[in-house]
Amino acid sequence: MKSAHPRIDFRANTRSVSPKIAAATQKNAQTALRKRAEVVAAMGEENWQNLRKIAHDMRLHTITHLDRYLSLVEENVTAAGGIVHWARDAEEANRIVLDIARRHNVKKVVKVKSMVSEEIEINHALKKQGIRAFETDLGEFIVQLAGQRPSHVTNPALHMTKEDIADLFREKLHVDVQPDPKVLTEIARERLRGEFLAAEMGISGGNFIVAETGTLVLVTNEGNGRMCTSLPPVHVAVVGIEKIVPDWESAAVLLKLLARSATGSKITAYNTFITGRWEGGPKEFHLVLLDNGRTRVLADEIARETLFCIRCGACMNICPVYNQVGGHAYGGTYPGPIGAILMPQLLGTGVAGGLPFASTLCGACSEVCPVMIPIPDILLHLRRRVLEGDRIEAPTAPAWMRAAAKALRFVLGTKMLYLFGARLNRVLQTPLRRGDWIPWMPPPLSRWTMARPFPAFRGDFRKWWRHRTVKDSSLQEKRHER
Amino acid sequence: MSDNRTDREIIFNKVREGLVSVAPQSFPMPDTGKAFFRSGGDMEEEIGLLLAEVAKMGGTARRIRGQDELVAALADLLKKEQVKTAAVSDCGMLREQKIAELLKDSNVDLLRCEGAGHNLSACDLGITVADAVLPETGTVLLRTCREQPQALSLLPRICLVLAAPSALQRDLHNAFALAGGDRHFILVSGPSRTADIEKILTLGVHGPKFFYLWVCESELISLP
Amino acid sequence: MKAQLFVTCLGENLLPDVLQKMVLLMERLGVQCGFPEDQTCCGQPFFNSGFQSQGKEMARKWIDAFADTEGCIVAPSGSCVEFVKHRYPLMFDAGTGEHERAVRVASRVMEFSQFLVNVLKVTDVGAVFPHRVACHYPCHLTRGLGVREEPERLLRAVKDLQWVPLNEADTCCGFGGIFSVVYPEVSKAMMEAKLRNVEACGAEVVVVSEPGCLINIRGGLKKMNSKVKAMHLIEVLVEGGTA
Repeated sequence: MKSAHPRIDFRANTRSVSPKIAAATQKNAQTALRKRAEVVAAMGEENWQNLRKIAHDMRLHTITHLDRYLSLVEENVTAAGGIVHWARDAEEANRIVLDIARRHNVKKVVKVKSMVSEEIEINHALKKQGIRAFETDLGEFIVQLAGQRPSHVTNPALHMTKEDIADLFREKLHVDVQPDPKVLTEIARERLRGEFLAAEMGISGGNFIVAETGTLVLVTNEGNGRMCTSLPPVHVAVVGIEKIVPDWESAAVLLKLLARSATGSKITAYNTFITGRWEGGPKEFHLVLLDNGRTRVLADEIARETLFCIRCGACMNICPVYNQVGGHAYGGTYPGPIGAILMPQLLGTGVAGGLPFASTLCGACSEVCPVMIPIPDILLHLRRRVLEGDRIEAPTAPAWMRAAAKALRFVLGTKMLYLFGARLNRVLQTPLRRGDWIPWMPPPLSRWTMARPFPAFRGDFRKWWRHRTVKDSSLQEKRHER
Repeated sequence: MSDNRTDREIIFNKVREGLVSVAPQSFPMPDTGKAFFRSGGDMEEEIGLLLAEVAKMGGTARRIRGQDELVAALADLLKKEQVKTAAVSDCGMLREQKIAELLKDSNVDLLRCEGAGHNLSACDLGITVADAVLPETGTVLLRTCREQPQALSLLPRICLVLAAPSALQRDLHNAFALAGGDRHFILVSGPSRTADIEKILTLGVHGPKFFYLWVCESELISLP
Repeated sequence: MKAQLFVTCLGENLLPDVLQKMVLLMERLGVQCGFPEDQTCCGQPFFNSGFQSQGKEMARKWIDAFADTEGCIVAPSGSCVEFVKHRYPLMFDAGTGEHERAVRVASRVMEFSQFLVNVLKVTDVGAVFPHRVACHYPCHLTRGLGVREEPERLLRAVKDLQWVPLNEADTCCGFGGIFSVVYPEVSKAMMEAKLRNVEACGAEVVVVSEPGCLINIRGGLKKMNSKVKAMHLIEVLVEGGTA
């Protein structure tokens, strides 16, 4: 667990988001969602829901039997001539990779897009050892040049316009080009082809590992996934321990869900299946199995479903919060709804405790999640962890909040006090009230009124109810008397 | 086996501790049967679907009905794409068709894939044979072997895949049933592509820029 | 038929006229309404803020208020109903008396449009509302309770009402309970996005059947001096001709 990670201040981050980011985020999301809806409809709603359910249950089975499947992976990869390493945290993972690099005198590394490699900040570790690492996915190549983090799990540079990218290429690559995606892509192709051929090591992540045969699965579109894992003489794959699937049927289920959920394509251009050492392939294949907090996620009965994630990005595409602020506001590797539940668990609520609150609990994410992660349930569960604490972590919210909640609960839960409090509100609002509205309230309630007025407190209902009951009963009495 | 056993032990212990409250048999593997729902149509329909899907992915697909058509199509392709160099799979059926000879006759230099395929980095055309085709998604299965190194479908600018109608498979599950035991195989669906720049689709990134799939009638190409 | 009024803390303190109209309408439809006076708040604000202990204590009180009553428990709010229905049973250990009581009240609680359409089997309440009307779909009502059709069916049965489609009708309005004060800038941005769609659709009235969403959207429309009025479904059904 990275204890050195600075505390994520979501609110501060959201206050410095440019409108351009929101616009770019929404444009990307709308395209992806529209295409997703088309391919889901083409498959048929019933088939789609069946797939989701199977995927969910398969993931649940896998992680609740994770020790068995980890053993199987280790056994099968080793039998196929691969070398399996275990890394309890980012530091250890980096140490392992650097060790391999040192042994092979590696100067240049080519990388396939991998969220895990972002998580452990491997490029930084390599740089410190004087090893150059080239991101080869176009989006990652771009954000690497720009010195930024990716802002989305499948579309890393969505926050940049083609003009931004042309400017960037002009500045960093010294090429003067039109902001034409075709031309910009061609430049990246030319630049990177040389690196693929010269690199001594390729580093990838892994979308899945099929335990049945010890097969690493890479899902890509650009061809760099294949290049990085076949051209250099050494291939190192760093994969989270949760990425295991039991067998080939399971892999097929997830592959049917992944591209459709991510971008609305039925399938990506390349799906690569690597088992240990293979004909014409790298001399060495290393698999680094990474924990880095995943076992802590596993230990919580409700939150463990976070580990089902296949990193499609559908949740953030549909999230109305993410669409207003973009990925960087989440302050870490994983943004959007999945980030809001994964990061507090990987980094601890002391660092990322604000993220479970970065949601209105609207539930749109859980409807599109291909593996049916109950994201709103886990958000609520983590909110409790922040305020009250649980088996996994002590509360990080200050004690006075719990005291205030107790007091407020007492007032709101005691009818006399509740009604008295309501009457008090009606009195206290008088200087602030303008007709039916309270345009301004003192802090912290000014957080509401800075955006829109608050409605005036009104106490009519119980009085009205009692009055008509009395009226009714008095009318009835009169009728009776007559 | 790596030498950092302590990490291995730590991870396994944590996993077991985390799962200690899980009752055995609580979460069985679901029946994946319902996921295998695609019913194949008849051969003609499936081939039609295949050609359409490849086109959707930005590739070009056609049927080749005879030896003459194959020769003509190849000549057209070489001319259209200005092919100077090519690398051809050594699979028996391609040798039978004397593809290599055809290419030599058109003054195309034949390269042999060496090692991982670095020497093919500037090659124009790579020709391979599909081990299976999935019409639903316009996908070809290419199993890596000595005769058909994976570099053939990756490094050259143009990827040409020949397939027999008998290679058609109903579903992804079938492809895995075939190749799941291999050390290396790929599923290729069209040319390399990206939409990383403003969601604008661009074909041809690091892998081949062009993808051709020719479904060759049974007499021409047969599977082993 | 008997039903119990679940007025909700927001409803009672900020939207009492909506509650009054709800009572009048239900009585007109032959429902004898009860009002368990011990109810205060269902506890959702505590629970959703992370204070699940306090949420549970509020739940106990709420269950006490309603347990010994008869009939459906009806609220003009999808989120409060969803909270009682889905969360209450989970709060108490299975097999306990508390759990049983929670399950029983959870089975009785219903949102207003659900109650009318699915229990009273009424879609035309005889309302007249000659205006262009759009409908916002509150998140907990639609995704939480699965109530998507009922409000629309009730509105479409209103005489002279012109249904106007609303773009991104089921996208969250940005209220989200404490979210509105924890991340007010984002809440504001989401509200403004909703209001842009409301303004653009050409409706005179936008129906918002959720107290939280209603105070958010109504306040936002007021701030921008919009001509569009935000009304609860109940207000449209009882209005009888005037906006």
